[in-house]
Amino acid sequence: MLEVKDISYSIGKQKILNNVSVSFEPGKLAMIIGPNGSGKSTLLKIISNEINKYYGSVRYDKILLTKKDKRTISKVRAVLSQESELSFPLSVEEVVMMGRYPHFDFKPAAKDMDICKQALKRMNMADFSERNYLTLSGGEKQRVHFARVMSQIWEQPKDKYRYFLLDEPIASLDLNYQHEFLRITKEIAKQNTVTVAVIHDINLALQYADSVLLINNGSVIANGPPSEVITADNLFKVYGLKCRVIKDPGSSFPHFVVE
Amino acid sequence: MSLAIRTGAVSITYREIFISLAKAMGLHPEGQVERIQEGLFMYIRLPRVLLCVIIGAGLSVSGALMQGLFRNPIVEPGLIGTSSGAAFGAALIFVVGKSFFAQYSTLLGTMILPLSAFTFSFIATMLVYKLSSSFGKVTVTVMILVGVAINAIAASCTGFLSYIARDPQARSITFWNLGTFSGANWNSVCLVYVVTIPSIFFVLRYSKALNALLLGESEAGYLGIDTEKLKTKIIILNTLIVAVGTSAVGVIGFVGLIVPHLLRMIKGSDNRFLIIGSALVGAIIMNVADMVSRVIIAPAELPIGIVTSFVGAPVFIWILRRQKGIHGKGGYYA
Repeated sequence: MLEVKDISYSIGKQKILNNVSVSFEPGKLAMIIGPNGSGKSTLLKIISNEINKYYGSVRYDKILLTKKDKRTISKVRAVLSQESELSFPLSVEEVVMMGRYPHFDFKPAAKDMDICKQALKRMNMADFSERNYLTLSGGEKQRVHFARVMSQIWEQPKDKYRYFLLDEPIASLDLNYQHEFLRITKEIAKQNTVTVAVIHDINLALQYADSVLLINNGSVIANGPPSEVITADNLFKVYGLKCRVIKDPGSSFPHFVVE
Repeated sequence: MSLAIRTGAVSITYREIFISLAKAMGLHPEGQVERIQEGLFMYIRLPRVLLCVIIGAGLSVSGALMQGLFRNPIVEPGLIGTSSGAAFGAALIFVVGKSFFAQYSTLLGTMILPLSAFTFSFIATMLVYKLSSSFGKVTVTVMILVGVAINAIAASCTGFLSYIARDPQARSITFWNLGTFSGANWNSVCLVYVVTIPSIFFVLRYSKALNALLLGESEAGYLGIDTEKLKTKIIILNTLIVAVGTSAVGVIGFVGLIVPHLLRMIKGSDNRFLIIGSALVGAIIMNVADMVSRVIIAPAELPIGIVTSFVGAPVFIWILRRQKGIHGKGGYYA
């Protein structure tokens, strides 16, 4: 269980988040949507403790985030960013192994190696393990990082939930891998993981999310099941766009097109 | 290494080395050595080569560390104020310190130079790091500019000192700004070893964290690393290595830049490999450079800083050009 309560955050005089309260449950894939500059990425940064000067509280398993030890929490919580600034030659294998860094001190155990291999295989990157990371394409790099964060929280801890946070993870991917990423994310969520993803594509949110948080100007506009949050009214209110719902008899969820 | 011991204005044979060593260990070997050879070996050549080994290792490790910390492969101690700060700290002692601290014991006398070098070196490095990072991100352009500015300040202060210095002091500052192993003695060898070896071991403990830092500061944080603490520790250890080295032999450029680069080209940036590799390769390269500096205009000798920069800079350019070809996009150095 991840609880965010009365979060307010400003840079200078500008309010970025205004009294945001929301809770995320394990076993469900939650998505945060909203326009550019609405504060959704900031909210994720606060949840992941990258920003730590704010008003309000973030609790993991009912314990305040600020009271948690960094290394302890990194064993059960992984964060996937939009892009990594890694610009040094490293083998793909080593980048993925970084996900296991919180779990060993000096030398990776056989278990860590095995987990990395499986994570790479899951991302269809098994043949790349010896490759120099810098020679990969943008999409391939992102798959390597996905394998890295997967290996970080690979095992289900006893009596504890896992947490998986994603900040616009699919921006650099092709259509196939966008869906592949979200399918795997949903799988991970189902295994008793608190999963929160910031995402731009509302149709993907409709297809994959279990719940959607809509933010605008730092405030929560709506929160709930995707079909209740993503409505023509809300989209107009937030994006200023007229949208139309299309119901395709072949799929169980609605689609939106911009008029 | 043994070749380095033998080579120089006066050459020494292996037999002479062996006998001298045996004598020093309290044995009574058969055969005789000329006193001058023995003295030369025990008090000049051996400490010099040992010092070369450790300084080469230290500077290269320091280069690897700073490149990891700034997440930029062009960083070396000379670029970010570490060396010039140390040089100023040492010059300060050369000029004002000697008369000031003359009354104190010899122990303090030996310690005060490295201490002063460390202090100013630390201040300079910290300044460059703090001034060039905003919101946890180091902007490369700003870092280089700040580095240039801090170096200029340190250099002008050192220049001022050599201007007001009396002639012999001024000459030692100049000589020392070019780097030289000619002053090697057992005192400096002991001091540098005592500081550098434990520092390198400490650094090795952080190699995993340094790897994670390559992903960026926030990513490293997600992997459970306290990046602020890590940065401070690395800067302190690095400054220790560089300042103590610099206080013993002066400013030697380019070794710290090139050695980690060569290794990265061979086997990537995993810091666990990079740090150990840099120490070894740096030691070898420094010895070769010192040998060249002793032989090239024998019986006189060249300051080693001239050799490393003269050879190092073209090699560096060659590496840069080559690297561009490999990656095609130039992204590595963008």
